[in-house]
Amino acid sequence: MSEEHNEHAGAQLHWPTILLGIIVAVVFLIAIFSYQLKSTDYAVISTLGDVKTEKTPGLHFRFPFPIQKIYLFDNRQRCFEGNVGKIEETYTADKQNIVLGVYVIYKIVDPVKLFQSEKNVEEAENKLNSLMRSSKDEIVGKYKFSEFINTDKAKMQLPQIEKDIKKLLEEVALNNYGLEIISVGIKSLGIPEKVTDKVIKRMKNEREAASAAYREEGKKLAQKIRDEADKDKQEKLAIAQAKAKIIRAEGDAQAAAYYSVFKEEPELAIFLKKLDSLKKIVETRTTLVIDTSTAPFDLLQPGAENLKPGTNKK
Amino acid sequence: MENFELRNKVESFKLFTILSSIVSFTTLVMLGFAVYYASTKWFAADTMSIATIPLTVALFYGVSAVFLGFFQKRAAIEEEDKILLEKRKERKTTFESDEDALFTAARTLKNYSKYSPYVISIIASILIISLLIVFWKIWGGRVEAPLPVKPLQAAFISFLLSMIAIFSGVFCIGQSRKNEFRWLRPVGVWLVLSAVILVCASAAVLLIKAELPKWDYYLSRSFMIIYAFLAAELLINFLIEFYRPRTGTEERPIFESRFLSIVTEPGGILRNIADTLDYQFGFQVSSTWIYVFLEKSIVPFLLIWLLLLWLFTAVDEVSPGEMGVRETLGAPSDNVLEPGSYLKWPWPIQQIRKLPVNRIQEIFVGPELKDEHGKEKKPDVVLWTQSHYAKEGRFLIATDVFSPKTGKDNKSGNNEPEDSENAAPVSMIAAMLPIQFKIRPTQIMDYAYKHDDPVKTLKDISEKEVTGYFASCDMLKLMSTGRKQAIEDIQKKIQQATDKIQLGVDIVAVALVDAHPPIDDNELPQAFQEVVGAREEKEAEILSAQAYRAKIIPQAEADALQLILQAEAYQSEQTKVSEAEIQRFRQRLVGYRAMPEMYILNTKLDFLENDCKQVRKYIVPNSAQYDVYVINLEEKKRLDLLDISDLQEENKNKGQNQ
Repeated sequence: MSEEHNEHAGAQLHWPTILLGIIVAVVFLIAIFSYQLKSTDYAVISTLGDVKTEKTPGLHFRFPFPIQKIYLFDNRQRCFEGNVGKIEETYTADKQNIVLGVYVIYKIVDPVKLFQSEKNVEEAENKLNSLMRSSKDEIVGKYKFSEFINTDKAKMQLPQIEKDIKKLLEEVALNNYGLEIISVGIKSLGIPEKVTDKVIKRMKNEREAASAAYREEGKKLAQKIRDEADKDKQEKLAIAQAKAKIIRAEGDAQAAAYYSVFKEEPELAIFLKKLDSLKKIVETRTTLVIDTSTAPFDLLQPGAENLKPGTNKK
Repeated sequence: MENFELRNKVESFKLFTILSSIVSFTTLVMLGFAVYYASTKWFAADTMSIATIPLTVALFYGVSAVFLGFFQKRAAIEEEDKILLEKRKERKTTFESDEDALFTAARTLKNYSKYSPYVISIIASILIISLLIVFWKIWGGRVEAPLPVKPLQAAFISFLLSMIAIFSGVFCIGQSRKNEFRWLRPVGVWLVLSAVILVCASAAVLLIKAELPKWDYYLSRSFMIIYAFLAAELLINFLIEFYRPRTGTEERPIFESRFLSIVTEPGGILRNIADTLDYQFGFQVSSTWIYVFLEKSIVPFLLIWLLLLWLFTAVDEVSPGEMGVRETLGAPSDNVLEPGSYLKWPWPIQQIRKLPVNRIQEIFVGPELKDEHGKEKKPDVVLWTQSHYAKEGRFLIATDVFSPKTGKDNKSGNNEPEDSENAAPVSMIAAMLPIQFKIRPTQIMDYAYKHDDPVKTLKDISEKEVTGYFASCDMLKLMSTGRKQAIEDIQKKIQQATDKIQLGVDIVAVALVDAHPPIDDNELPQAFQEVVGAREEKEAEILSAQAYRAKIIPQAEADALQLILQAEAYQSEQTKVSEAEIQRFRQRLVGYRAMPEMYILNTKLDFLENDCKQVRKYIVPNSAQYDVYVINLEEKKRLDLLDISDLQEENKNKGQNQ
């Protein structure tokens, strides 16, 4: 009885273990007979050599390895800058060296093609990298340096260069690797180190020339302002003098108009004019020397009592 | 019978020595592989590197065990010889003392067994700490952890080594049940630890391949903490056991980690804990009711705890400032979740992916902000002549090149090289543009699920737009008046480009923090600064000239005005005076016509009386002899009457002479 009880108890004690075993087994079976596909992935399912694609996200049934193999490919847009020659020196149409960095935004649209040609994205990117370098060199060689860099926007052809590189890439990438090229961009432009030194030297010389030019221009403009000022001064004075002369002349003319009255008695007019002038002259410290023949001093002459009226008309 | 036992002992010690040697050799080979692969570029995982530490300790313990076996074997052989000698002694007693002096192996074994555990314990502890310091220093001085070139091969080799380590370790632990092989247990324990770490290294490499490189960091640093703990345990063991009386037959050597033994010894973890407690406290702790209760309840408790932890994954929260997307077995639902708490199926069935839509994120176009040591420069003063980033961002920029001949700027594309055949009609500018952006709430699905790495894509697009803009923009204009326009244009272009590929971001702001000539050649920024100085000099010259003009023109205008006013005064005077004179003349004419002579006389006399009232007058009689007076007006301005007398004298003298 006691042994039976122990056996029964032992059987009960094993239930948790059995339950745990079932749970583990179920989890294990789910793990090997299913796979989860995220919305950002495509799955390439290889069933004994037969390949198909699954694009619907969620939990999917699968046969366990090695019957079925699942290869996941990211279906999102990827930005690829290249792995060899990310920044590469090349030659423009006008024989100038230029250093370019290009990136490509692509996405996988045909995962089966990618799987069959390259097995994985890394290998595909290696091939894409070679294509990028080749296309870039080919297109850059068709454009002049001034079409890469120019303050005249009409002559600047960077967007067209990017379009041309994309055009060269997209067909090969789609047909060979199942990749859709969404856009191509030139993310860096440069020149070789040796040329860089020369550019910096030229920039320096140019700035020094600009400094000298600014100084000389300053002197020139200052001199011009001074000369113009002098000229304006002279002009203003000349104009004023001319105007003054005209005004004076007008004054004289107006005065002359009155002189016709003097014609009525010119002798008197001349006499009075002389007298006015004499008055002005003697206003200052003057000494008059008058002889006795001058009235009224003629009275002092001997025999003045005999003078007849009208004899001293001097 | 005694001889037979001794012979067995000798054979057993021989076997122990051989096993220890084989295990040590295997460990040495594994260590060699681990060191080689950890140092090659195509393996390169920190977790793999630190797997060399337990392998080194296991090797050290293995070599110690070889020595022990060797000494034990020698002591047993010596014991055999001693028994044979005793038997011979019974037959003859001569030269007894001389032969006794040759038996030293037992004493060597006794000394080795007594003192070596202390030494081994200290050396092992120092070894672990030293290796930890070495790794810490190496990893602290590098810019970033290198990534394995061939992760799959690396994971495979790591896993293979871990298999060899686990088999060797388990074998050693199994053999150590025999008392003679007891020293194999610490070797086995450290080999098992090596195996665990190598498996983790394998996982770390695969996680790196899955673009989760941080896990290698977390794993390696966690194991470093465990190593430090084990090294401390060895030191504590040494201190605790140092004062404890030793019989030489202790079951556990002091350099054996109790912590590791708990998880690696046969019999289960709980049983090992019980044994350890019994050993430590010196009585049967494992027989107490509380221990028995804990032993029975611990497993269900842990399971329930794990279940609860798992169930907690059915509750998730979208924090304020975030938006969430519910993913069911990897498939996102179209409904975007606003901030709040949500119930969901537990992991891994459902997850909520959270995106910080309100947070303004920032990327930098241009310079490298951190140097090779990962440090970022943050200068208080930013000058053109001093480097302010780890590596400045340099762009080719179009330039309307200044021509000294014409004094004008020529369009860069039309300008031919001046100084050499290689010089390009472009300039270089160092610039840094922070691009601030937010996830667009209406395009959260695009941001989260359409792009592999939206931030990297945005950075590349920003670099493209900045490069393109600079290539068509005049440098000096960009550095001065064109700055605002450039920022607006670049922001607009980046926004258009990101919208075109549905990146799902709003460009909040673009800044142009730097825009100056490259600082490689210090003279270039100085040349730019010199231009500013020259402009100032030019302005100073012009201002000086303008000041001159401002001074003389008003003066000239004043003079001109004076002239005109004088003329006008003259004119007025002429007119008025003439008019007055006419009036006066007419009035006088009346008097004159009445009696001309009288009028003339009267006028003259009036003149002399009134106008010449103050005038000095000399009356000269006209009857006097007529003389001609010569007056020298040059010497004296004013003649007086006395001068006339002098002149008369002089004239007389002249007349006499003639």
